[in-house]
Order: sequence, then structure tokens, then C-alpha cells
Amino acid sequence: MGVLVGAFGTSHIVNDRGGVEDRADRVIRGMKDIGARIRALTPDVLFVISSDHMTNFNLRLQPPFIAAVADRFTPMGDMGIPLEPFDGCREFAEGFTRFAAGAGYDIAKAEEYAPDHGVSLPVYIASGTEGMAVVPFLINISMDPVPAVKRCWGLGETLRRYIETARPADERVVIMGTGGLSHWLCMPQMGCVNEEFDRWFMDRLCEGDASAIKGLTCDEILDRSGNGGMEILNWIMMAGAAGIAGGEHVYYESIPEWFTGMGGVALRVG
Amino acid sequence: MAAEYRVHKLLQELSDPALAEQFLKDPDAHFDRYGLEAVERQALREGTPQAMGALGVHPLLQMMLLFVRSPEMGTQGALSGVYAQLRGH
Repeated sequence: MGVLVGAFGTSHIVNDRGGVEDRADRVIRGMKDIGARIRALTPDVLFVISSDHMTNFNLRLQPPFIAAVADRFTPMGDMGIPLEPFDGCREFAEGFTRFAAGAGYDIAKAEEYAPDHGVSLPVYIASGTEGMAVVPFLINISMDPVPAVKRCWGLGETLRRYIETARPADERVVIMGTGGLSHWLCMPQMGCVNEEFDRWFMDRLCEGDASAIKGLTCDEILDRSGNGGMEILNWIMMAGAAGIAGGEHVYYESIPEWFTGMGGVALRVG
Repeated sequence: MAAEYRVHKLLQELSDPALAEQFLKDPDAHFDRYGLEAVERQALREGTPQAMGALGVHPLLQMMLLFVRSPEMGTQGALSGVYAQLRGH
């Protein structure tokens, strides 16, 4: 059986340091810390749960869950992210879609996917392990309704079972749940950050309070964390895979100048 | 209340650089092609979050229009120093 060796949550954007140098530098240090921790775990597979910002998947066709199964990916380069190609892992990704189908989750597969910052930045942070392959996985928060909290959590649990029952012996997997934290994109509250909710959410994860996380509804997340804050569904799937063993804060900064709360956690694998 | 799909279709197809160029050159021809009504044309001409929000335009597709009109917003060339910093340079 394979082994889940690490589970991390992190925001997936950086912006101009101008005027916010101290907070930006603490965020960058936090992201580098997460990258170093991931490299120390020497993963064979990095499973990145993120959102597509309507750069690949728009309203023409709206799958709730998407696994990118290609052998190789090149970032699309939005936000000026360096165009460093990285390896995919078709065999892991396709195997997961089959396993999940047996568990009641129908996942769309994408052969053509150009990672935007939502996947490219986490990979950029975590890269550096020889032979590591990446599976980009998208939860569609651009659709209405978005996938429910308990579906995302349950899909995380399913991913954990897949790793531990269907993967080759000693395969090492790290999961990143990315995006958020609270932000309102092109909404009247744009520029607001709900630090209280962000910290509440990170505290519940780090205390291993699964019932509080599973008790959230998408309406509540939208209300308290904004339409961009729906990206915490990506963290929730990651937490579902990690179990409820708690963890530690790595960084948090409220940066209204970037229109978002920025946070990162390292969860224990329970 | 979400905007009509014709509005969203126009906006999401601006991710194609050729269509974006056509749109910037001749918005009215573009509005005709997608069959937009007067109030929809006005909201996109105005192009503010307020105008598009009132029409029910999807927030990410509002961003699409902002990026097409102000490409420098989407490229963020000034961030190269931040990415170098993330790598420890």
C-alpha cells in the first residue's frame, strides 16, 4: 500500500510586496517553509487540489470535480508565474477516477489542462524533489451549486483509501489543499478580509475538529469567506484525506491590499 | 439572478486572444454577434464591477473583461522578484 506522508493547506497566490513588505515577507517565508517540509517528505506524487479560475473550464461545461490526467503540464503563466513544465501522473490520476467511481464519486478527466496560478504556484513552491509527479485536481467553485462540503470531505477520505489500498507499496503521497482564505472577487465586499473566520477555520483544522469543519455549509462559507473563500473546499478535501489528527499553523496574514486573507497549515496525518 | 448565458458566452470566449482583439476593436460588432440586448451592451461598455454585478455577471467573467481591457493586470511582470524570493534567491 502507498502512504500519505503529508497534508498541507496554503493560499495559492502572491502579489506585489509594495506597501505590504512585512506581511508579504512573512507569507513568502511561510510558503517556503511549506515547500521545504514537502521536499523533506520526498514525495513520489504531489496531489494538488485547487480551483480553475475559468481559464480552462468555464460555463460551457461545468463538471464538479476534475482530475487532470496528462503526462506533462505547462503553466499558462498567468500572474507572471514562471513557465516551468512539470510531470503529471496519468496512472495515479486515472486510477483515482476509477476508485472514486466505485465509491460514488464521478470525476471528470481532463487531457488538456493548462495550470493557472491555482496549481502552478503550489507546484512552484513544492518542486525540487527528484522524480516527483503532480496530479492537479480541481473542485469547481465557479458553478452553482458548488460541490457540498460533505462531498469534498468524503472525496478526501476516498483519496486516502485509494492511496492506502490501491497504490504500490511505499509510494509516498503529499496532498496540498490550496486557495483562499477569505476574499470577495468582483463582489461589493471586494477588498474585505474576514480574519476572524480565517483563523477560526485554521484553528478547527489544527485542533482536529472534524465536526466543526463538516458542519459548515457552502452558504455559510460564501457568507463569511466570500466567493473566493469557497476555495477552502480544496482544504476541506485535503483535511478529509488527512483525517482528524490536528496540525499546526504555518502562516497567516490579512492582506486587504491583495484582496485576501493568506494562510497555510501543516496537518498531521491521522 | 445570473446574467443571460449569451453575456457569459461572450465574456468567457475573450480568453481567445483573437476574439479579445476583435472585441476591443469593435465592441458593437461583437455585441451583435452574441445577440446582446441594449442593457447588456451598456453594462459591458461601462465594464465596472457595479454595472456588471447589477446584471448578474459571474465574478470571474467580470475579471476576464477587466484583464482584457487592462492586460497589465493579468501578467504582473513586477512579481518576478517575489517568485525569485520564493525560491530563496
